[in-house]
Amino acid sequence: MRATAIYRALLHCYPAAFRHEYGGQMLLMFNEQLRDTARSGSRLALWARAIRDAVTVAPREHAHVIHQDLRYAIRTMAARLTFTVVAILSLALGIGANTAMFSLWNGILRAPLPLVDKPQELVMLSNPDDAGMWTGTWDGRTDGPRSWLTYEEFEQLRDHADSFSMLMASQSSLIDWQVRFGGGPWEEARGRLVSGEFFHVLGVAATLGRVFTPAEDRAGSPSVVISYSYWQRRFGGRTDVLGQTVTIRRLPLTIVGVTPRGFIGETVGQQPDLWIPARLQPSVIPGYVWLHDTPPSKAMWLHVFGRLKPGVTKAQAEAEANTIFRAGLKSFYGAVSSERGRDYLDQRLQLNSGARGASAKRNQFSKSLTALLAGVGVLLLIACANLANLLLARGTARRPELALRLFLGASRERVMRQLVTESVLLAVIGCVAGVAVAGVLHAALVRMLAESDPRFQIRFGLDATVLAFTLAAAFGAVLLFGVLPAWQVTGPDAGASLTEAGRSLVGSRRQMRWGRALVSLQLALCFPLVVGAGLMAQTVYNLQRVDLGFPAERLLLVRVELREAGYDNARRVGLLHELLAEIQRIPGVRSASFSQLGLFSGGESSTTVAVEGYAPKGDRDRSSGMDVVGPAYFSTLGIRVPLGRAIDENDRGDTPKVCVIDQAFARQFFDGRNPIGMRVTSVDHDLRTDYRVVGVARDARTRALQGEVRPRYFVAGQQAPAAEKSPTLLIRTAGDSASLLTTVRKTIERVDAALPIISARSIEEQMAPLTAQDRTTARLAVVFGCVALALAAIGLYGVLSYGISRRTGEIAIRIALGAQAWRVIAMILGESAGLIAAGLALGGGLAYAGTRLLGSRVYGIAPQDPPTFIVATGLLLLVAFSAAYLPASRASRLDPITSLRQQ
Amino acid sequence: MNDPPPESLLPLSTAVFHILIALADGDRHGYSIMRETAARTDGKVQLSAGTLYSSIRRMLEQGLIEELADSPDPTSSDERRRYYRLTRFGRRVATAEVERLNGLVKQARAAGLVRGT
Repeated sequence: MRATAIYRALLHCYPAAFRHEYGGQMLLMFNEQLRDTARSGSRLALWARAIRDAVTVAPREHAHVIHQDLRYAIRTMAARLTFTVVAILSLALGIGANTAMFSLWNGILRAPLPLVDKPQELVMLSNPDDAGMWTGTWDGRTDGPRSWLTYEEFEQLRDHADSFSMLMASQSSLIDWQVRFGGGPWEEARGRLVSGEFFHVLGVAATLGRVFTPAEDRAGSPSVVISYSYWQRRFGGRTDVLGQTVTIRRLPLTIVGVTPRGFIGETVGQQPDLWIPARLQPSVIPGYVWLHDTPPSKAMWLHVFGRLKPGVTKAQAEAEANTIFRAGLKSFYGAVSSERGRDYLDQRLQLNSGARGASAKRNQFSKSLTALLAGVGVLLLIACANLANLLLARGTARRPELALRLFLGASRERVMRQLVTESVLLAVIGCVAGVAVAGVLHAALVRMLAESDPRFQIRFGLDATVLAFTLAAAFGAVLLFGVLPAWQVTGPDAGASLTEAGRSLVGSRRQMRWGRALVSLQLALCFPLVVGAGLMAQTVYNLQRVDLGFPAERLLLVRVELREAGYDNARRVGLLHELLAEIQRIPGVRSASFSQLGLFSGGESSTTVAVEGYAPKGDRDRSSGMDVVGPAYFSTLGIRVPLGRAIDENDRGDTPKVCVIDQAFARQFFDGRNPIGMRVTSVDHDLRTDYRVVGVARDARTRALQGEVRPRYFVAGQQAPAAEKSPTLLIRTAGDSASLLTTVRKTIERVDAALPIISARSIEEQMAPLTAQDRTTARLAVVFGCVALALAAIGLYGVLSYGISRRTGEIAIRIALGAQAWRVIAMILGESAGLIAAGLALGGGLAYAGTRLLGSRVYGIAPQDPPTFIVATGLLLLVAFSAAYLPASRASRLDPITSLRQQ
Repeated sequence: MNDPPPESLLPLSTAVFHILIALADGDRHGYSIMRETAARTDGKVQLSAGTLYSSIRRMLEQGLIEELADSPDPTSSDERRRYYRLTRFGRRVATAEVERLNGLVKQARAAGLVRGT
């Protein structure tokens, strides 16, 4: 009887329905054949046929059942168009939003560097999550793992480290250069300095021309490689771009190649236009020594990437790199006393994975992105709840039909298979629609990000990871919320439904309760999203309206490079004076001044001060910011000087040195004493400079929008110590400032055609990056909040419509008995009120708990801001009752005679 | 009963045609159909159980055959067997298939493809 058992097992290849119907007969026949072959032989042929059947006939039978189910599913879906449309819309929105958001999250936080060869093998000796530069002198030091390396340190590693097959260095920050082509006008282009092996280490070849070679490091040849997007944008993709000359400062560079489309280099979120050999630093960033560690200063500005030789472990490579690195430190700091030298030598290199490249945004964005991803996850839950609800409601409606089928002998498995097929069909359609929605959302996200931060660029793509995520989300949703209702409506008591004949409300009570609970849950889930969107929107509003202490509009910031143009300290005063005078003559300019620090330039000069009558308690108590400013600085910006006077033209080199302090300075160092006439001494090593306080200015935010204003004092340009930084001209205009930019540029060129303009932009442009991330987050939160509301409204509408269609008889009787339309509406709205209230109560709790996550991102508003909660409640109420009103009003217009006859 | 035109089901698969022929002279159960077909074709056509019941399932749906409620053979000891009978529609379809094949043979003959004429 073993043969029978095997054949019986083989029968499981067929669909259950077929097996139930014919399995017995086939087994019977098989046994007879067995008996017959016992006489005639050839059992082998019998088994061969049985197995061939299992692999050829059985799949055909499955296909037949699927085909049948699909046809049935399509018929059912077409017959209930509202249900189908609502279900697909929910899925499409939920899946689309998640796919778009996940793609962004993945692109910024997880994806490997695009177009880079074998990114998993890339290693970094610098900190991947940091960007910028740091210039340290004897006084400065860094402990622990280094963020960036100096050029000399890189050279030592490149030349002596045997663990690496290749090493390259790239500038950790992106620079905005003023460039010109031929004799054309100056324009802005973004670029970074890289070593000769840059492209080889990344494994990228040129699309046109060539990339850099190690020879670039030795010869310092004036060549430049441009990006594909810059090539398209600036040169319209013309091939004669090779050999053209780009001038940066005074250095003409030859374009030698174009990188492949989509290549961004080694830093995620940044798309350089130009790559320039690091050797050219002295020419393209003049006035700074970055290529040599010349005591007492070290300029750390490079990320270092490399690939390990085969067989070398990360630990071995790290150890070798550190040996070389420390030897370099010892020789550099050899002149420092051994006691302090120990501090400097407490530095090391850490070998990190370079697969995901460097990113300044990663750390900064990761929290908001993850929060947003959680937000859209909630969105998908809402969409799932919609679907579950609709499937439950529909399952309820179909209970009598299903019960009849079960009663007539269909197996539970067969009926469930039918229901699940319908769900899977929904999932497939929802997926396709979701990807389409994601495509649209992608485009919107890109625009949004580019708008709020022009430096930030990232490509979106439906890569395998993203697609897998989408499919998992869709099928997870449908399986969870399609199979459960299917299981429930085909349950053991399903037969009971037959006796109800689908008319009474009793049988569907339980499902309706479920459905109502789900709608409440949806509203509850919406609440935190709406509150979050509200809080973020207000945060951005507040950030853009932060009281800077001066009006942040109609103000131009133009930074010029004096040192490179050959102006020493004595001549710069005269030049600045002449520049300001000329600029002030431009019609439309109200006043002009300058500041060494500039506004929101990211720089701060921290100096040590000794203040008359103040006893410091520690090192921190002796530091203050310092800015060197021109006459009319305070009046140009519009910063009030309530006490004493501002700095003016009479504060010259030959008059007593004076300073103006801000209120933060006064609070910190004078603490209620009258500061006027007191002495503030700037201490720079052995150099001490005394200033007399002549005025106290209001605190002004010129550095950051948030946090406390730090103490700062201002000294006159002619009385300041030798300045290293390029000053920023501040130009207050009467009308729109952007239109004056060209005139200002021309005026500066007229004064000195050789004077490089490093940057020229309006205060709005300058400040945009400060709020960029919050604006992006806020917009996304608002978009997703709206989608959540729409989904919840769709869900509520769907469930109520269904509920009402199930109660047509009851409502018709009420109307026939004389119930007025408004009473019917009131009855249905009244019934919805309970579930809406429950949803809001739960949602309020969720939102209250959820706002903690936002905590630090919120500005100028309490995370549990009552008005926001009240407005969110109102909004949800409005949406919920609107969604409930439509089916209610439709019910009130029922024609009782027709409806009852149909029943 | 609204049967589709018999031609819409043509051509028939080998298995279906053989089952129709086997049932033309009387009601049979599955194994009997199989043995009859094998005997009639000198063992050249061996219907397997899967092919047989897959065809039967389809023919039942198409209304070519029907299942008998009772065993037509009261002497049979085995009550578990299911018997099938050709429907009137099934007979029409079989006839239509024969005519189709006849037509084909005529054309082949006219083209000189058939030996011995």
